[in-house]
Amino acid sequence: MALDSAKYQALYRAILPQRFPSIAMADVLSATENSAATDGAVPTAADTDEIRRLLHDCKVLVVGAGGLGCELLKDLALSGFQDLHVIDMDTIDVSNLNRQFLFRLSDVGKPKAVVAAAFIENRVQGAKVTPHYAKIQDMADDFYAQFQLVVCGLDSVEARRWMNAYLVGQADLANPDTIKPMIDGGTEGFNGQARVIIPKITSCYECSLDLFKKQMVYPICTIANTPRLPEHCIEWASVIAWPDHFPDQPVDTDNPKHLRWLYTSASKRAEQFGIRGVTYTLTQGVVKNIIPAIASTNAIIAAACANEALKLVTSCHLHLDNYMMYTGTEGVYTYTYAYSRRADCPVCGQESKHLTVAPQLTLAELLDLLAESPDIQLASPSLRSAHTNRSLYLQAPPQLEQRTRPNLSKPLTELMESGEEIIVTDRRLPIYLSLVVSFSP
Amino acid sequence: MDKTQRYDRQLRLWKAHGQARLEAARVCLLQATAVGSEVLKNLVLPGVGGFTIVDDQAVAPSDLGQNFFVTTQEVGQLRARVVTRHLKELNEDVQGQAVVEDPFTFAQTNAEALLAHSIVVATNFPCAHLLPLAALCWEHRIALVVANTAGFMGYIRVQVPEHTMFETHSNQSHDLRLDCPFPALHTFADSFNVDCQDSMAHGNIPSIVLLLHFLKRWRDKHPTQTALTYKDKKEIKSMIEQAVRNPNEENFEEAAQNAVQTLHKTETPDQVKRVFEHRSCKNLHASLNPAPFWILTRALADFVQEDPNGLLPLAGSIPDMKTDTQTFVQLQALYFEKAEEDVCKVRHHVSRLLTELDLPPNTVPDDDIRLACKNAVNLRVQWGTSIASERNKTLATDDLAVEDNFLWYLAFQTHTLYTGRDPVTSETVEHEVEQLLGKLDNSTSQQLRAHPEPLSSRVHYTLNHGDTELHNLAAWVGGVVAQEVVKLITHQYVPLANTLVVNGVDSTTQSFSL
Amino acid sequence: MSLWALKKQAVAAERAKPNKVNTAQLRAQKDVTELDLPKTMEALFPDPDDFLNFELVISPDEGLYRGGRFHFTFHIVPNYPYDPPKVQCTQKIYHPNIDLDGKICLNILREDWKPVLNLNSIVVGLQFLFLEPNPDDPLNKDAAEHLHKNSASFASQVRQCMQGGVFNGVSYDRVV
Repeated sequence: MALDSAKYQALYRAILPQRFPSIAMADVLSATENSAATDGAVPTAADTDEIRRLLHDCKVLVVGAGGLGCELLKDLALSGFQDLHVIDMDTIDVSNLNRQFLFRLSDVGKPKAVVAAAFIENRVQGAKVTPHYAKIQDMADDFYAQFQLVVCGLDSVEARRWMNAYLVGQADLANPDTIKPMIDGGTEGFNGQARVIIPKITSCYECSLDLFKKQMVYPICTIANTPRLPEHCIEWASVIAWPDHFPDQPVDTDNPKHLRWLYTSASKRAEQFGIRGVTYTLTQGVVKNIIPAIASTNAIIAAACANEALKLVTSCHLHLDNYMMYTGTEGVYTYTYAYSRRADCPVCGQESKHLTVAPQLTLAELLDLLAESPDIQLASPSLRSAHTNRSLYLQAPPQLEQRTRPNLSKPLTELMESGEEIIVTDRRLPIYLSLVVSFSP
Repeated sequence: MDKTQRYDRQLRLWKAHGQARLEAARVCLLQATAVGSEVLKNLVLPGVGGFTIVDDQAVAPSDLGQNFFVTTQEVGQLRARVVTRHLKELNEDVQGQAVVEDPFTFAQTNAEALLAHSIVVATNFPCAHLLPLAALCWEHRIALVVANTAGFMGYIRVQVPEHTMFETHSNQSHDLRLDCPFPALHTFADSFNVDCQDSMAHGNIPSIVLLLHFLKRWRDKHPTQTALTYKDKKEIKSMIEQAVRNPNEENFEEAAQNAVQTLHKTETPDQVKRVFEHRSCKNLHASLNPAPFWILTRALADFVQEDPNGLLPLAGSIPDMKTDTQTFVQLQALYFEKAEEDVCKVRHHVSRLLTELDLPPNTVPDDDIRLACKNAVNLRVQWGTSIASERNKTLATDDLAVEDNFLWYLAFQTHTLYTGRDPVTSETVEHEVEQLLGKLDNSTSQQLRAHPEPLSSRVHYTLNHGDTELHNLAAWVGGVVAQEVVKLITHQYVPLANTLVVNGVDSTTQSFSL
Repeated sequence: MSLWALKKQAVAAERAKPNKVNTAQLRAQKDVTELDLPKTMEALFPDPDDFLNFELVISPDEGLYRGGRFHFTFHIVPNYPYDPPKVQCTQKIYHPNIDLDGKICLNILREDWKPVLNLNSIVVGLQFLFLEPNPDDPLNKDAAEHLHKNSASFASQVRQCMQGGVFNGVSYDRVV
């Protein structure tokens, strides 16, 4: 493996002087920075082996094989990670080629994850990349359980929220193996951000939901009756005219024929009202909510994310705590800071309680227990199984209260299994309480 | 292949004319390092016109862990050719050329070839070779970007004698002229009855008209006062709030919300005035071959001179506001027509200037005149400093805080950086630190002399890691440099002025004007 | 492979699919169980285990629309509460802010929605639309102009339409 040592010489030399002797993911949480000053040692074979082991043993999931995903795969592979997985549900489009450098014109239409994985494996010897052409929401727990680290390069708030909520939901502070850091990157034009989320330890994605700009939404009455902007005409075409003409066919924003139809009807409406500025490009931008994206910004943000992955796994330096904002529109400006956890965050700010009860306890008796228990004290809780999504007892509205009332007299054994998680809501709780109920033997 | 489709996501930022400039540009990379290859990747993808790589090394095994654009099978082949080949695969519309020559001396041996490029990117250059290169580029007014990395640290220096911009994309607020409405706007506003009884009509009076109306009412009460204070604006705001009839009147809500912000005095920004005062504008007729930018700037200055209110041309766009379609379209047309009149006047100034300068009429395209008028408030010029003058300057820092990233800046200024593969000795470090201290003002150097460790450890670090590249830092710095090159080429957005440290340990960056 | 084996595989795949409670569901549970419905409103859940889809019936006891029973469907989207729920009127009614397709002009259902708002905010907004139809922000332009020009004539038209039948070529649903 002489070639391998030479290949990663830079890496080992940069990492070596600061690294910790032996690292498990849990130690990373309490890692402290070592000074860059005590530098200069030449890596020994043992040191090199140690770093290599860390990087080889760490299985990383890259979420998204788009602009950030392509960069992330390259950066992680060249950082010495050898067991990479990539998941993406999309296929390659011509408009990806201005930044998604693992794809060629002849790849248009193929699954992004598959093409990206094959390219990296072919280019970087020794890197194994396993593609998953799938939706993140469709993967089972044992899929996610195999990874030590998740790096996201996504373009939708919805997918990020899901991934974040899932990883936070899996994290159990008593069991460090369940705490999987999520490194998240995002870009828009010349700007972007990189952050490190350590579930239940740092602020999570949901804590900062207010930071994100919402898609522009126009009032429906303006769209219907008093359009002023070209955008109003385009929205009219897609929200009102399209469903009128094709009641059984939703708009497919990737279908050029559909876009052409929307553009034509928006143009007609604009002309009728004397509004200027409806173009095909604008139509596309509005109906697809297109966010400008360029190669260089993706490169910056992905590199910052991969850099954090390297720091987290080898502990050569303290990882980012926990947010870096990058602005490239006026000179170069970054702001690095610790985004605080939100106490009432619906994802990471909610309490979790464990109760052990006799199996013959009825649901009504469990409610009494919740009201009396000094550390819970909930007077009017609504309960629902997180496992089966079954409503156990709901205080309101009246129809649901009546339908679930018969459960009150039933023993818990009829309603749930031991160790099941119950979602409890109550006016006194910011969002909910997760209650794990076990039956005493 | 349809370029508008391929480049859709970037055309939404810099538009077709920015893309045209990018496609006309040629970039020269000196040394096919990982950082240099990353810069080019990020320029080839968006469709830069062409690139040249000057490099005389063979692909080494160490390149494989650093540079994505070389493969195991290519070890031993010429790096310039290998990287050029892989980069060209990314975009068939880009011209790529490999020149197998010593990149460090290329500025001396092939100055003409170098100067045929629009921009030069020099990576991991030793000081001794950087200075003559920088001097040549400065003299010929060609932009030079220096990109270095060492371990987890990166350094960027942009050297441009003069960079001119209209489209900075910075001032997004609309130019409404509420304090000095042009005659057509005045007449239009007067045609509304703000006290009308019809609830539909009352709820559809556009906020611009409401603001003009209540401003007038306020002025009638305070006939002697000319400039509005913050308190006055608040007063106008509450007058508007009091006139609301029901909570559905969004137009009044809009007017009240925007009162403080939009009732400002319209004037020419100071930075625009400064550009007007510059000799290239004032003494336009004295320059040998004036750039179109300066002709346009002079035309704008002449326009302001002539304007009864001493204002720049009107941008001509208005924000969306609650009103009916017809009223909005009329209002929009008023601003648009006034802007067109202004463009016409500026166009006359331009053609007069071109005649006086004895230049052909197509020297300044009409589209550029329009862009200049639309973005006149954002007009900006950055005057750079040369790397040579930076080297000779005494650097002063804040007495209290010699910040970490400033020390990293210093650590990238050593003479022996990137010069060899000898082990770094403490003598070398001490010598370098002494040289660096000589560049600093007394109080800073005293402070550092008392505690030399922070600086010496950083000098040691950059020297020790200077001969290798960490891919992540190469990709990060390569991304930033590509953003800067795009900004310089398209003359859109505002470039870095002029130095940046990228700190991969702390995940921070810091810029310095040196 | 036999059909049976294929089927078994499909069942296994279905089981392996994680049953994860998402944030939309958590918030929906809180919002639904804390719905403060006045006596003029009723929420109906076809499936008591599905909070994300339900019907709301509004029976105004004052105003132009008193005596009617107006049906709305609520669909809580996966990105709730980042995105608002989708609400539609399932009947054809004569109202300036509700069009004949059931689309509703209510700012908090679109441009003014914020995650801090909840189902109660929407319910209050809908109630308000029946008490104070707003002709200055029309969705059904004819109805709005009608109300604007002659509120007495508009009121009688509303009463007629609520009985069901065809008026000016439009067939309205009987809602009383």
